[in-house]
Amino acid sequence: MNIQTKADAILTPQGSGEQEASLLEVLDHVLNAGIVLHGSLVISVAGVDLVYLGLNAVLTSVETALKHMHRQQL
Amino acid sequence: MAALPYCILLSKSLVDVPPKGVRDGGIQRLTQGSLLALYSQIEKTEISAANFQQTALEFHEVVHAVFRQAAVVPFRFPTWLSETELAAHLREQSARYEDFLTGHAQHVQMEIRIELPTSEASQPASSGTEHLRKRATQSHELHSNKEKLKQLLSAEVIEWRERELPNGLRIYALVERNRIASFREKLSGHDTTLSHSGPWPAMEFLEKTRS
Repeated sequence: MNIQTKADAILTPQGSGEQEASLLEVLDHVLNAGIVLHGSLVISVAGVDLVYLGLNAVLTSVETALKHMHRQQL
Repeated sequence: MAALPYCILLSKSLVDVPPKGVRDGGIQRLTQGSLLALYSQIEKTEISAANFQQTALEFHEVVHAVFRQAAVVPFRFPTWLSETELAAHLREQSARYEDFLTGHAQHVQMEIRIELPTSEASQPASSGTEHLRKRATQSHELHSNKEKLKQLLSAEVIEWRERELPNGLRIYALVERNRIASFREKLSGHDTTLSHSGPWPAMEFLEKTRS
C-alpha cells in the first residue's frame, strides 16, 4: 500500500518546483507521520468518489469497500 | 461535533498555543496525568475534498507552532475521536508517550532522501540478468552514498533510521535542536543526489531501537 503516492497525485499543488517539494513534504508528514487510531476518508473529485482511505490500515476503491461492507451485512 | 486532535505534549511544557486551528476552530486542551492533548471540536463535514489541502496545512501550522517550542507526538490528519476516546488513549499510552517526550525533549528528526538518477532508474534492462545486475549496482551505490553521508554528519546525528523507497532511500536522523544549522550546513556542501527536509517531530524514533 502506498498512501503517499495517492495523496501526492491528488494533492499536487501548482507553483514553483521548490514550493511543491516543500508543500508535498508537509502534506506527506501530515498524512503519513503521526499516531493512527481510527478514521476514514473518501476522496472525491468532481462529485465522484474515487478512493476510500481507512486511516488505520486500508486503502482501497470505494466500490471494493462498499462490496465488502455489503457482504458483511448479509 | 467531534474532536480533531493535533498533538500530545508534556503538560508541564510551557508553550504558546495558537488561538485558532483547523477551520478557525478554537484549540482546546485535555490534560491526563503528565500529558496534554491539543484538539479542536469541529464538524466532520467541515473537512471535504474541496478544502482538504488547506485544512491539512492549517493542521500542520498548529502542530509546528507547538513543535517549535517543545517535543510533540503528532496525530495523523484527519483523526476523529470523542473526548472520552482521546482521554482513554492518553491513559493507555501515558508511559510510552511520557518516556518519548522526556527522552526526546530536545531532539528533532531531519530527513534525507537519496534517489537514483531518473535516467538510470528508468532505462529498461534488456534481460533479467542485466536487470538484477543493474539493481545490485544501484543498491551498492545508494548504500555507499548513505555511508558517506553518515560519516559526514556523524558529529551532528545521535541516531539513524532508514526506509527503502522504490527509487532510493529515505534516511531519518535524530538531531539535537541546537545542531540543526550545522546539520544543514554540512549537508549543503555534499554532492550526492539527495533532498532533505526538517526539522520534524521525531516520530521515527518513537519506538526504541530494536536490538
